[in-house]
Amino acid sequence: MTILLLSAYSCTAQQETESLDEEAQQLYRSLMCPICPGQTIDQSSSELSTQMRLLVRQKLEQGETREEILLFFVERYGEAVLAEPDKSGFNLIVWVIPFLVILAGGILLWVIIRRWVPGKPELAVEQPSPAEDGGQDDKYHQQLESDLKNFDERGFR
Amino acid sequence: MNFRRVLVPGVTVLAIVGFVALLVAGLIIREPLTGASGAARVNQPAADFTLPLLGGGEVTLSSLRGKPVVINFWASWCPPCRDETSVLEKMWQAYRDRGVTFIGVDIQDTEEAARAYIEEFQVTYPNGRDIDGRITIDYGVSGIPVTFFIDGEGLIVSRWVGAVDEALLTTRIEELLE
Repeated sequence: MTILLLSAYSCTAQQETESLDEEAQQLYRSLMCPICPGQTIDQSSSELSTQMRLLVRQKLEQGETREEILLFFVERYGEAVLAEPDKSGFNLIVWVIPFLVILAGGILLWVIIRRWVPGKPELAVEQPSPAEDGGQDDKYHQQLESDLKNFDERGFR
Repeated sequence: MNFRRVLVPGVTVLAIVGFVALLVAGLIIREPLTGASGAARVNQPAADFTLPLLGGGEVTLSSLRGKPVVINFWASWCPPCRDETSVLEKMWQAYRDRGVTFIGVDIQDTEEAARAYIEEFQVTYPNGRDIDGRITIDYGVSGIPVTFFIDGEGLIVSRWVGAVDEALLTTRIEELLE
């Protein structure tokens, strides 16, 4: 019985540790290294990043929440320490505006391109007047009759 | 060429290209927070700490409440730190009788290098190493040297990033003493 209880406790403790590890990793990816350009603290090998990771881990073990830990670093380094701007208040604009601008630009381009594309061009065919049309037909008809008559009389040469 | 027919689409294309370029630049170019070292802590209560001293003993910031304190973050490998250390020592000697305390916090350094540095510059005000980086983080330090000026009530009144000189120290310390 004792062995079963100890085993259950061991499994639970291991699960909690893995959960804590995962949460810590997520936090590492959420915090920028203050002295390394463009790197989060999980990417940076600087001493300060190492110290920040240790502190994050300690705070998680002490029961602090993700929000509390992020706030802790924001109070010390400003919002620039966050890998992603907070999705609230004024910062929400940062998340929304790019999509709005791309959408507006796309619509505008579509309108402009539609104006650029001309309509189907009409064939510039000169239509003869009825009088001229009838006169030319007679001329060709007569020519045809003459040629046929010559063919009948003489055949192929 | 119809100028109007070219202007609107031209401006639109330029605006979109410019925006996309800005977006890409923003994603690629991320400057470190070095220049903003300690900025978020100004006008905030100075975080308390206990610093083990290189010369033995320790100093606790809260024990100095009621007196102005100048805290300087440095490292032996930091060139502008070397430029200002003599000045800090000189001003410490000038103001210690008026109740001003100087504390030096050595970061990201070995003990040997820190001791050699103190010896080289004959520094006499308290100095210690921030071994676990907690003081560094609590003061939002991302670049050194950075000097914090704390009033008698424990409020960080101002800070300076870069080497300090006599004139700057005099002005800032006199503000603390007012």
